[in-house]
Amino acid sequence: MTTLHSLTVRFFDKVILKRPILAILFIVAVVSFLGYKAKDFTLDASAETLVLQNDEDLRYSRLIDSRYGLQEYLVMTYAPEGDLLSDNVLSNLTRLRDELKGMERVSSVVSILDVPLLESPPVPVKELAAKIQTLESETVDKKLAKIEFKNSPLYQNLLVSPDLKTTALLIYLPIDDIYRDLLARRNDFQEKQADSSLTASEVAEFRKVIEQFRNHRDKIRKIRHQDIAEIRAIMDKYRQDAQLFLGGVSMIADDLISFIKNDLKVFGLGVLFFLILTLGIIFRKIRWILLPILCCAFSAISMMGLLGLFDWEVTVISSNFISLQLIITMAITIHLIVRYRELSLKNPEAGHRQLILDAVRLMMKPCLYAALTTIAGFGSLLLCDILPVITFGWMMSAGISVSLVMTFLLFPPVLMLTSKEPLRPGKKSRFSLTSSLAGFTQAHGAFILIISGIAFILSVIGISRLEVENSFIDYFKHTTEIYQGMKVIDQNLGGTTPLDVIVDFEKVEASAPAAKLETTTEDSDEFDEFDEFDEAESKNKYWFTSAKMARVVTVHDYLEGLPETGKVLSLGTMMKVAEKLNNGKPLDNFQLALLYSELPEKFREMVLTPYVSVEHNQVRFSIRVRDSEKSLRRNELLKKIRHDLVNKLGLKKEHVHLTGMLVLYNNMLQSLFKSQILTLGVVILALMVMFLILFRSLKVALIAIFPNLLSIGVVLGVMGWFNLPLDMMTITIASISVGIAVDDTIHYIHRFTQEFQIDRNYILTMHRCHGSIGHAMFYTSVTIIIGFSILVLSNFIPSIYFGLLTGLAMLIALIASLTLLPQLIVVFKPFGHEAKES
Amino acid sequence: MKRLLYSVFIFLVMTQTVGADETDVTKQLLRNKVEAAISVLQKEDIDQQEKNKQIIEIVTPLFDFQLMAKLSLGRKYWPGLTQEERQRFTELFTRRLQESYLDKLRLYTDEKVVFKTSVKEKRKIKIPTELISKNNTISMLYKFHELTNSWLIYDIEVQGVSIISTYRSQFDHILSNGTIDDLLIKLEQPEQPKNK
Repeated sequence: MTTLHSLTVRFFDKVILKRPILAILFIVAVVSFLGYKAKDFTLDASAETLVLQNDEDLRYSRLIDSRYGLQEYLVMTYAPEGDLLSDNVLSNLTRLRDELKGMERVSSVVSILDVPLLESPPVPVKELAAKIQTLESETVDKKLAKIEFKNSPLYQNLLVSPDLKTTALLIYLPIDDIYRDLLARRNDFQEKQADSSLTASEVAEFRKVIEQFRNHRDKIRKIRHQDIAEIRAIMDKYRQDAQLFLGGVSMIADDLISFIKNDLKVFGLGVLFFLILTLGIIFRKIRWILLPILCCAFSAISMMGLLGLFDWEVTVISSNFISLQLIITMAITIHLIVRYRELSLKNPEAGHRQLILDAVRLMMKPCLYAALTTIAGFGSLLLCDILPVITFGWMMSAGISVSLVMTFLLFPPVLMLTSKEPLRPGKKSRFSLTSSLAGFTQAHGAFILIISGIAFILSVIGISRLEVENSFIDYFKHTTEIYQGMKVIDQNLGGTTPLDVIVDFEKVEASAPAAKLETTTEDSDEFDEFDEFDEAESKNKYWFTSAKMARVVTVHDYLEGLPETGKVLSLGTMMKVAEKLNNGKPLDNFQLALLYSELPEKFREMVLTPYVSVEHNQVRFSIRVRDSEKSLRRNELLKKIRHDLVNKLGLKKEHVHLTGMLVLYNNMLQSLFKSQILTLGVVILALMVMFLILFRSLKVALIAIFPNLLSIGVVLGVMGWFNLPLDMMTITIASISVGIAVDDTIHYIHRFTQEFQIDRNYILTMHRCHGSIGHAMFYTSVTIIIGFSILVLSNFIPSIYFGLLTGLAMLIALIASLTLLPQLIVVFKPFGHEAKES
Repeated sequence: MKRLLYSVFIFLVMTQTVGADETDVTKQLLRNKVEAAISVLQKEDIDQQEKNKQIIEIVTPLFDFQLMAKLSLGRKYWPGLTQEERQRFTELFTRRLQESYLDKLRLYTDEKVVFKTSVKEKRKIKIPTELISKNNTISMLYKFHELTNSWLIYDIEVQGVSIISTYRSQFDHILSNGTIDDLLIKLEQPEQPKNK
């Protein structure tokens, strides 16, 4: 270690400081290359980024999606000021629909204007096929239509709100076969990779498919973005008469991408601005502003290049990586500056080069350890099962390494090119807070311990109240269209989060001669003569039996009866419509078969294909759950549905499958507790190990871990007390903040060890440390806290919490490191006995 | 050689004539029964129950209920039934079939029935008909088979949907989850119990 340290110091002395221009040119070349690679840097906001990696349910959900051929669509809600079915509103709606229909990449639009009306006025069943009416038919009775829409099992909550004030237009986007094919192939390869059964040629093919998939996806995304912009432009023309919102998965993904881009820009620039401001206030020197900014810019550009190089896609979770990177680079640079100035103040006679070398030499070890602990914090995220969180862990671990290397390589040669800073001796920092904290600790040591103890107990109680229940809608600010649109759809148009219940029917064996039974020759001949029925058995139309439909309707009614569910669509919906037409009687087998064979292809695609797979002998119930329902407990709901379908409705356990976004989302949420415990456990363990290596004393390591436990505890406790749920973003707070906050502890103890040797007096050492490293700790923490506070400007609520809570963690860590930590050191005296009173 | 050819020709002509005759007779029989049933339906002086009774009397002799019951279970289940079960099943099935037939007839208003060219295949005759109303045409195929010199219906297809096949799939579903007793109990219950 010491040899390595001296080797590195020699490298700095003989290479970097000797030939600063060459060193700078080399760095500029590397950064230029990475800057060029930054063009491949991509964003991802698909629903896939919200689910667990390697989730069995994800595989099943993909299977179901492809089996039932689900088409992508956008939902536009339209709430007119006047009566929904008034001539004026309908003519506006017609124009709106026609404009949407006229768009190049809209395959169809379904609205109240287009759907068949069966009871306005009622038409005898026999004539239905020939005389399907819509709102646009001349013979339609609008009063009856109103009643029909209000009561229709099909249209209510799908196309109209129950109060008939809001209607929805479903804008279907064309099926993208290339995307589906590429996705299926990619998923196949992914599964094979998970089983480690990829051959060498398949690995190459897999890479190719991934690239094709990304290229195609990015192309589609651009097109979709334009389409959505066009749809919004159309909507704007109708806003004077009605309130319109756009919703749907594609729109959410598109808006999220815009949010991420916006966040990257705002946070990046905002943090940069605050950093300049903070540096200006602390150092009041152009060079101490420009130099850190240069280090930050180079680190950020290099990191973006690495992201492009490694194909790590930035998601909502990692959308703040640039700001984090800037903050961490800044902290390292501030430590170097403060140390340089300290040295320069102490030895005004020393040469510029010697001062720089000393600063680098002295700060190398603590900065390396501080970086390693921060990497441990972010690295612990790799233990999660959530892909964007894992990627975030990788990104930041790489980012911190880049920052450390970049700052240490760039700071010395650039500083070499400047002249030595003339510091006036005796100039004290205007920030005397650290010194007063030293005085406070000396005077009120017991009080600090008591307060810390109380904070600890309160935190534990708060932690026990933590929840993982997250409403997707609540991820967005109330002012965003995502929030407003989802809220209207959620509350008035049948809910937002999709849940699929798949029910299998018993497998029926094909007819075969029952050999062991008493088959007479006569019987057998007769059956042979009428073998036309054996052939007919396999035909789809005979699959629809009244017994099966009765079961479908029972399950449908059960699902619809749950308070948390909004719209339920299934074969049961169609059965209800048909039953109405059949004088209130359920269809018999014969009518069902007839209905199946007589249904025009267009309607079959609409009412059958998404809800039944005859080939697989199963039906699908498409449910939308009301996400904004405060009482919604996702995990309990899913458990209840599974339990009730088996125990109350008598289905076999193996015949019931729950899938869809709600299941995947819930799996992710349920994994949060485990992930949180796992990541935190690993961080604390890693810290302990590092403390032991660094300080070579169990006592010191235990003392060092305590202030960090307190800051994690307070953050999680505050979340518990304020009912802030754990989510994908907030579970990263504890690990990250402890990773960053621990820097304070390391720097403080490292300095304490050195300073203690001077007079072996704990109290005096404490005052010296507070007056020196205390300043650097204070500056870096304040910079970090202010930097994180920029995240408050995000449209994504978890980012806001992340910013505030990480800031809180840093504040607690700073206070604890300057009060609790020295108090513990003073009480437990881990560095040995004091010298006699001085 | 010539004689052989001649005799083959004669045979073909003969069989065709015989076939044509039988087909025509069966077709006529069907036509009569259908018209009789329609005239009962159009009567205004009797109630629905009486109409049902009369129609059943008219059409019952046309159906081979025994065979239909057997076919609706198919070779998968029928051989496994005891004599008593077969008898009980046939009775219940016949009743169910009659009820269902009457139910369908209620939809009839003023359609015209057109009889199309019949086809004879071995011991079977298929008579396609069309029920034509103002804006709709429904095709119906009556399938007869020969039983001791008379021709009886063993299946009807409406728009390509076979009655026997629909029953077969329904019974298959019940029997694959239960026993013949479950099926018999279900058949004893009135048609289409209302779902919960």
